[in-house]
Amino acid sequence: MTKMLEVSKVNYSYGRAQVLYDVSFEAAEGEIVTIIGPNGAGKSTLLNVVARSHKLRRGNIRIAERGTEKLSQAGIVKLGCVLVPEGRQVFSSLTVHDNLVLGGYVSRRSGTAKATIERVFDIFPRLAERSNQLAGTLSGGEQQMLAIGRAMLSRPKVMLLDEPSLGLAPQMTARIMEVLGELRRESGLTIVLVEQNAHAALGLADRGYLMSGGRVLTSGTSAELKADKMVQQVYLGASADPAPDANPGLAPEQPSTALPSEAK
Amino acid sequence: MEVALQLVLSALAVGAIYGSMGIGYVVIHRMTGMVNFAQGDIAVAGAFGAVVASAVLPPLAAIGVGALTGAVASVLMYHLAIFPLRKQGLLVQTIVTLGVGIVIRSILQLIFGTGPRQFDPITAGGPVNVFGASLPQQAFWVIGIALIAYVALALFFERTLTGKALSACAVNSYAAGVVGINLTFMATVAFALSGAVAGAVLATQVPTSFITVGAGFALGLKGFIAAILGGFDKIGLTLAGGFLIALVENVASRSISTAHSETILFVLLIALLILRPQGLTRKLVVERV
Ligand SMILES: Nc1ncnc2c1ncn2[C@@H]1O[C@H](COP(=O)(O)OP(=O)(O)O)[C@@H](O)[C@H]1O
Ligand SMILES: [Mg+2]
Repeated sequence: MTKMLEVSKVNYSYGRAQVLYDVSFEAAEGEIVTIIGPNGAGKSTLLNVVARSHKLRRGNIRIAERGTEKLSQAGIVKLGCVLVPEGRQVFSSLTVHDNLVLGGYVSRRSGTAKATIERVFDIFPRLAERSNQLAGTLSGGEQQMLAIGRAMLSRPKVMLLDEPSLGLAPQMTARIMEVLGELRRESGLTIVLVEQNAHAALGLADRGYLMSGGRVLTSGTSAELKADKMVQQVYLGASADPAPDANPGLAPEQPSTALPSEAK
Repeated sequence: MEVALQLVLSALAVGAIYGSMGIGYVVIHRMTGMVNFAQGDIAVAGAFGAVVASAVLPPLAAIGVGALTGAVASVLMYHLAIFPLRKQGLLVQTIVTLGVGIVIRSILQLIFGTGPRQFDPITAGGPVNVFGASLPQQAFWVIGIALIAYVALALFFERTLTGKALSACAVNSYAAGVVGINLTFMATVAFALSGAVAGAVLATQVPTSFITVGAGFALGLKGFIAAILGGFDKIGLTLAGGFLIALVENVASRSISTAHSETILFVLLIALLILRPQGLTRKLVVERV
C-alpha cells in the first residue's frame, strides 16, 4: 500500500527548549492513524511541523511519496496535506461560506469549490443552515465542523486533525469521529488524528502512536494500544473507566479545556 | 448659503485626499495590524512620479504613473524595511515607517528640490458653478477618482478570493497560513494597493494646487485621523472621515483662523477619541491579528 505520509526523525525546538526528539510515524493510504499522549507531549508541535506552520529544521517528511524539504506551507496544502488546527481556528469575523471558500484558496482555479461546498453541507447540514452567519457566532461543535469542512475544500489526500474533540459534548465527538470514518470510506482519505481523548481516538483508528515528553514511546494497532501497559500507565492510568473496550469511541469524561463547551 | 455650500464643496475635494490617504492606512492595518506613518510621503512620491510622467504623457496617463509610483514605493518599503523586521513586533515596524517617511522626503528633495511642481489638468476650462458656489473641474476628478478607488477596493474585499484572503490574514494570520495563504504575498498586495490609491488621488490634486516634497507629513497625519474615524477597519467610513476633517478645517480657518485650523482639528480629535474611541464605527475593533 502507498505510504501517504512518512515522518522520520523530526526534531523541533522553541528557541532553546527542544520539544520533539527524533519523532517518526507513518500513515498508509486510507489509513486512520492516531497519535495520543498527555498534554505537552508535543503532538500539536508535530502536526504544525508536518503542515509547515512551523519550520522543518531537522528530520524528513514525505507526503504522497514526495520529499517536502523545499515546500512552503501553501506547497504542502497543494500537495494534498491539510491541517485542522487545535482550537478550530476558524475566521471568526467572516461568514461560514467565506470560511469554506478560503479553504479552497490554493486550488482556486480547479472550479470544484462549489461541488465540494455542497458536499460539506450534505455532511454537516447545520453549516448549510448557517451559511451566512459569522463563524465566531457558531457553537464549539459547529466550529469544529466548519474547520473540517474548510480543510475538505483543499481536496486533501491527508488530513491532520489536532484534538477535534476538545471541549465537545460526547454526542458531538461521536458525530465527528463518525464523519472522519465516512470520509475515509468514501474518498480514501488518510487521517492523522491527534487526541488526548484516547478512548474516542482508539475507537476509530486502525493504528496509533503514544507520545510523551516529545518522544514516541510505543506504537501498534488500536487493540494493542488499548491493552498496552505503557499506554495505561502513562496515559489511561488516571482514567476511572475500568474497561475502555466496553465504551469504544466515546469519552467517559471531558478533557479539561479553556474552550467554550458545546451548547446543548 | 452660498458660503456654506462653497465650504462643503471644497471640503469634498480636499477630503477625498485625506480619505484616500486614510484608506491607505486601513488597507495595510487590516492586513498586518501595523500603522504605516510613511503613507503621506509615499503618496507624495506618487504625485512626483506623475509630475515627471506629465512631461511626456497626457495628465490622466501621468496620474496612472503616479499610482504606479506610489505602489512601487510602498512595496519597496515593505520588502526593504518592514519584512526584515517581521519578528520584531508591530511597534518596531510602525516606528520604522516614520523613519522611512523621512528617507523618502530626503530623496525627493535631492531629486526635485523644495519648489512647488504642477502639471496640466485632465480637462481644460474654468471652474464649474454649482448653485453659486464654484469648484475647479479638476476637483471633480479628484472626488471621482477617490470614489472609484473606494468602490474598486470595496468590491475587491467583498467579491474576490484574493480580497477575502487579505481580510482573512488580519482576522487570523495563523489560520490563513493553514489554508495556504502566503502572508508575504498578501502583505505585498496590501502595500501596493494602499500606495496606488493614495498616490493616484494626490496626483490628481496636483494640477489644482501644486505639490512640494514636504507635503507628506501633514497629509499623512490627516489621513491617520481619517483612519481613526473609520476605526482603522472600514474604508467607507474612513473616506467619510476624510470629508469631515476637511470640513472642520475649512470652517475653522474661515471662522477662527487659518493658522490655528490644525490645532483645532487635533483638539477635536482628542475630544472625539475620549468620547468615541471607536471613531465613526459602531464598535471598537479590539486587537486584530
Ligand atoms: N509557541 C511555543 N513556544 C514555546 N514553547 C511551546 C510553544 N508551543 C508549545 N510549547 C511547548 O512545547 C511542548 C509541546 O507542546 P504541544 O506541542 O502543544 O503539546 P501537545 O499538543 O501534545 O499538548 C510543551 O512543553 C509546550 O509548553
Ligand atoms: Mg496540543
